[in-house]
Amino acid sequence: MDQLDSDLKRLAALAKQHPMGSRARNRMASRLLMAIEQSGRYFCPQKANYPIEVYHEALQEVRLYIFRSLETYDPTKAKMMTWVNRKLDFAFKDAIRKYLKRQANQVSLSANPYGNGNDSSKTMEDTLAPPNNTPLLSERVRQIVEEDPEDMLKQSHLRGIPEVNFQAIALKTFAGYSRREIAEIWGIQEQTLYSFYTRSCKAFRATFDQYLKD
Amino acid sequence: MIDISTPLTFAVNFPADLLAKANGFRRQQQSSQKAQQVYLNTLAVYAVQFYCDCMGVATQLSDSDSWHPAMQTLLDTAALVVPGGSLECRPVLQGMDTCPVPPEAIDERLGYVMVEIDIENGGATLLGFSKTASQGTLHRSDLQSLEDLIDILIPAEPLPEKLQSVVRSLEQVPTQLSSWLNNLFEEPWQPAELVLAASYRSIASITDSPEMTNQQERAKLLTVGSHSLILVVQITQVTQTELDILLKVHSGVERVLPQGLLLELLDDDANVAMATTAEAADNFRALDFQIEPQEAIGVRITVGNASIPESFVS
Repeated sequence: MDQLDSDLKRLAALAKQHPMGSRARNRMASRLLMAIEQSGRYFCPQKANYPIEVYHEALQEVRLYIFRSLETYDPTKAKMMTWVNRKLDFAFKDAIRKYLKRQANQVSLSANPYGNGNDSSKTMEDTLAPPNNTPLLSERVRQIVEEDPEDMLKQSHLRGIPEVNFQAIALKTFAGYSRREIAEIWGIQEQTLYSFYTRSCKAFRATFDQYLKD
Repeated sequence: MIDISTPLTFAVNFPADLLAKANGFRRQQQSSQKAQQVYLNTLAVYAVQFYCDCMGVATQLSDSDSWHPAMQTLLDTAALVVPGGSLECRPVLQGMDTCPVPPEAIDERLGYVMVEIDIENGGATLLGFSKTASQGTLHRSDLQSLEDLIDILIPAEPLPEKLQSVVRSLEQVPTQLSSWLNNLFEEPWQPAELVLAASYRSIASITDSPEMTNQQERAKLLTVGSHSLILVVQITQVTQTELDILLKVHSGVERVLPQGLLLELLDDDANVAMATTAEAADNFRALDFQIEPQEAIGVRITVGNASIPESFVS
């Protein structure tokens, strides 16, 4: 038990030697956290009383805290795991509060047709997600590609080869062709094809945003 | 004793809002295969983004293709925008040793992080980092430790500092050894075992801690050319007038010193009074000598064409 504490304290001391945000600091803080995780000594006896995401949220808070607030740890006052678990306790209580608040906000919901049963917590955004008759976003994207209202997607093509254009590649992707197959259709290197395709996607990102807004 | 030479990994767990986001993205996809792809990519990107957050490294999820539903539809993307470019955060499920890296992810990436997702337990682990993904596959066995990721994301100590230390060594304000015996130490002299432990690889037997009150030991990091070295100085008050000095040079990152490293003691006229050279597989080299009060000594450490002077006064 003491060996663990002295090891953790040593890592903490090493970390604190360096300024926050520096490489050495982050290396040592990472090592410290890894040692804490591997010790299995997180202590949260209430965690089973709530959906596991609540405990997980608290753990994430603790991890951030160890990286950012190591300066507040006084090794002469407490063992490392005591300090960590004290934070875990606070963070867990915070997470419970947030969870209960979310639950209270879910006033009247139609069951989300796309949800899987394991979702224990939904955001408002989620519950206002498309009801049955609104097309999925992927389908709307597909439609935009097919229609190409301003002919833009066809016109973006590999230099000198108009048939290898963004629209054609995207449609084949939707149709289930693999990357390799698509490249073979036109006798182009997979990498060349996809470099072009990726660049086009990025170039059209704003365009898609525009179309999808309507 | 914790071994800091094992590969560094980083664990995260998924909070509710992240899962809601991932599910939200998933639900936008018609094809179940695509839905799963988007779900896992989202979790992987979150894991890396969270690590960056811990370290104070800025990220831009909103700008990242992986967080953009239309891009998710058109591409298999797990890109995270960070300072200087993008990281590709590829998910693997447990027990898998490789993951495919799609061609759209091969261009213009600072590197690849392999993230093992444990859906059942609601968490993920950053397993390691690779600068390249040879031929569209990432192999677990090829991964470097996450320390390499840290180095990519965070610049080395800022240049002005480096220039300062060059200037300092040129000016050569000598280190006052007598004040060490009064427990007064200047930057950058640190307790030897801390400096040695802070280098990547742990060294099996670190120096002996000074047993006597008339003995002190400190160390500092040096860079000679491209080599990172640690200079350890142990002083012992032998008599009223005589100070014993033990100088040791260790490698800063490897177990062995660069071959041909030369450690020299210079007298007042800058002549070499003592010297020692590193042969193959030397862990350290040392010089041991005595000085009188008010004596000034020069030390020079040379590797190849580069050398660094150090000066001390008793």
